[in-house]
Amino acid sequence: MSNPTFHALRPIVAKDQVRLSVGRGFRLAMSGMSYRMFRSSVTIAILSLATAFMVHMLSYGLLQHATERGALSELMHQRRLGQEITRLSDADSDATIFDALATGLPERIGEYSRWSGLGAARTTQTCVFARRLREAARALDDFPVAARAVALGDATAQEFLLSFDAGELSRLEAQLNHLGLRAPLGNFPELKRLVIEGLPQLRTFAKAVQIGQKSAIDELNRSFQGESIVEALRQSSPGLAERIRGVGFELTSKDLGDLSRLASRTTDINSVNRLLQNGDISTELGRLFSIDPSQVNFESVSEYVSNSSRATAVGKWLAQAGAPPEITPQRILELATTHRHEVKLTRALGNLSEDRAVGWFGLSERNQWLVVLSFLVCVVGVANAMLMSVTERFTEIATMKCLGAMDGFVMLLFVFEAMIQGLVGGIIGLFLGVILATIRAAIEYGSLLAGATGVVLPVASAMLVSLVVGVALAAIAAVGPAWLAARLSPMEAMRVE
Amino acid sequence: MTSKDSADRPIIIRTLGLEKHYGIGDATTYALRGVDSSIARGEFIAVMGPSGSGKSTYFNMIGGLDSATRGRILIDEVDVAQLSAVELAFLRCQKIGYIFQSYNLIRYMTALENVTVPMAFAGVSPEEARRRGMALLALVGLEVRWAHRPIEMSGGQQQRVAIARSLCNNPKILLADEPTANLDLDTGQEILEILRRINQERKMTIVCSTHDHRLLKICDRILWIRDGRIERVASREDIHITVGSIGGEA
Ligand SMILES: Nc1ncnc2c1ncn2[C@@H]1O[C@H](COP(=O)(O)OP(=O)(O)OP(=O)(O)O)[C@@H](O)[C@H]1O
Ligand SMILES: [Mg+2]
Repeated sequence: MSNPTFHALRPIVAKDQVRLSVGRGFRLAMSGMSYRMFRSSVTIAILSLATAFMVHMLSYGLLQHATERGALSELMHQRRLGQEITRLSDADSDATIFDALATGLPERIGEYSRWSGLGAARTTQTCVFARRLREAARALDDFPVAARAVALGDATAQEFLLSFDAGELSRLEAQLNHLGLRAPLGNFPELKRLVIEGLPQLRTFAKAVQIGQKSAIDELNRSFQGESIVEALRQSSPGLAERIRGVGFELTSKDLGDLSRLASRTTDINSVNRLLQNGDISTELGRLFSIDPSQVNFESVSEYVSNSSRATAVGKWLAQAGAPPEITPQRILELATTHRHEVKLTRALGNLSEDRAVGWFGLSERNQWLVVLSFLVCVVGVANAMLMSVTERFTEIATMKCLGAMDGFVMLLFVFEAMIQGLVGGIIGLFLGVILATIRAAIEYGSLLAGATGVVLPVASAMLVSLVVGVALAAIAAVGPAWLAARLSPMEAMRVE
Repeated sequence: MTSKDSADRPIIIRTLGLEKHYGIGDATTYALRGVDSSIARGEFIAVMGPSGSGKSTYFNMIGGLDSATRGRILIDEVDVAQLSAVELAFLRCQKIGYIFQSYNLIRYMTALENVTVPMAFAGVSPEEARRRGMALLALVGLEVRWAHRPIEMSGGQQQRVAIARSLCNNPKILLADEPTANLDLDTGQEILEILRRINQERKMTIVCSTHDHRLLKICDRILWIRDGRIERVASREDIHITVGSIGGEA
């Protein structure tokens, strides 16, 4: 063949060669997946399990947290109610006053300012002293154990500081110098000023408050005409709120309602307890509960009374012992249920403080590792599934490339496939995980779960995070095999057949 | 090596000293050992030769599916080796149609979807692609089977779908590597008939390798390949004279 002369090389005009749209790739991936249903569903199952695991860990941690918070605030509220009842019959102690001033509880400060009769400016100043003293006490508390024992003896730092005088202060200074420790609040002159100026002022203030509160309580008691405060609260007689507020207590209507309920509960529990002192009754109930009569008390009654028929049985015996009319079986059931709830609250707090959550989404360190590991396993699983899916389809890939598919498109196809599988598996896993976590939390905490407020948003964000992570990991796992597939020359791929 | 037919027509495929080696060192296979060929626009070329002679390798080279070890391949006077990835994709998509021995349809797609894939790569709108796809299926006599998947069709039907697919972007060149090898005689005859029609009606350049002697009756020229070299080139008129010797050879 004679060597022909060529025209100058003309480039191919390739601007018409489209890079396929994302939508097109998506549809192709979808139809490919629905054809390989079995393999896809295995991948989806792997992904959904991994996501379910992650979501479960995250949302269980969140539920646990919220339940803990709910239980804690309920307990705090109850404790405060108990305190309020005491405060309506006895003046606050020095420590209570000091605490309220240092913490800056607004309604207490209002009450104190009124009762002490020392005016707002003096009250504010005393609050500042209280706050500084508490800071000093905290600093003392933070000393190394040995140093603290030498400096404070057995007393708490706060007790120690409140009973201070100038002589003791010099002794503390010498000891701290000897131990080479810095003084609380930075320097001794400052602490000295606080003790010499502030402490007497604090004491005077507390005295004035106690005197004012005492006379307020006396005035209140006179208006009850011999009834106790608990009795008055229980009956919540009309005008009671006005009278209580009239003598200077700052209590909201809700607080008063709660107090009234608490008062009637306390009264009723007391009357039940009184009835249980009756030997015949405790023998009968002991037989009913199958326990020793000496162990029959309100505690064991509330343990036993879990439904209305049991309440009726117990009610019958109590009525025989001469129970007041308000102790109906219905009421007994109420008292028992509330008591069991309180026991559960206390117990939940005990449990929760043990494995205190530390990291993201309230996961403990161990669980963080578990989540990470589960996802590594998942990546390997998906990568393996994708690799199989690629090798199975060499001919298809080669054909696509013969028909004009670019490498990028082939890659896109596989990454899409993985992402769709990640999405489907992720969504299934999300619901699986949340349902699992809720069931687990419900088993562990029962009715307390109802107190877990404000979890919807964090759980939803945990779900979203898990979904995004799941889809992203599926895509990452697919990139390697997809790259392998896209790089093959069409002919090589065709040969593998 | 030049024929009367191709002298006055532009050359669409040209190879110059084309060599393809597989493997390295002692294990090297010399699949092509310097092939010079030129194919004119509108020609129907039959490539013949014993098994392992290098026919498929030749096809892959001129189809831009694999790169040459040495030598040049010019499609429309453009060196394939110089093409970028996009240009190569364009070449495969719009200038060349491929028909394979094993059909190579995409398993999860219907006949119509298979036919429309290259049109999607060429940027044809889906409606237009469906319309053209149906017309092409009608051309190969499969319009009623448009919704069937490959597994629901016979080999001949699958190959006809593959032909329809290869035509969908109206390429200048149709490369068919043993399109009838997996088919019985009658079905093979049908396929060859379709190819002949395409060549005549659309003036499409067709390069077809086969062991089927009936192809000799419909092609313009025959390339004989043996041991990676062009052994002989003949036009159809010449073959009638030497028909006895052909029979002995193949
Ligand atoms: N990818 C490859 N790796 C190694 N050797 C190869 C490869 N492809 C082809 N060959 C070798 O190159 C030679 C030519 O092969 P080719 O497939 O082109 O033959 P053919 O003429 O198409 O044969 P058939 O008629 O059987 O299809 C053979 O010896 C084959 O073993
Ligand atoms: Mg071959």
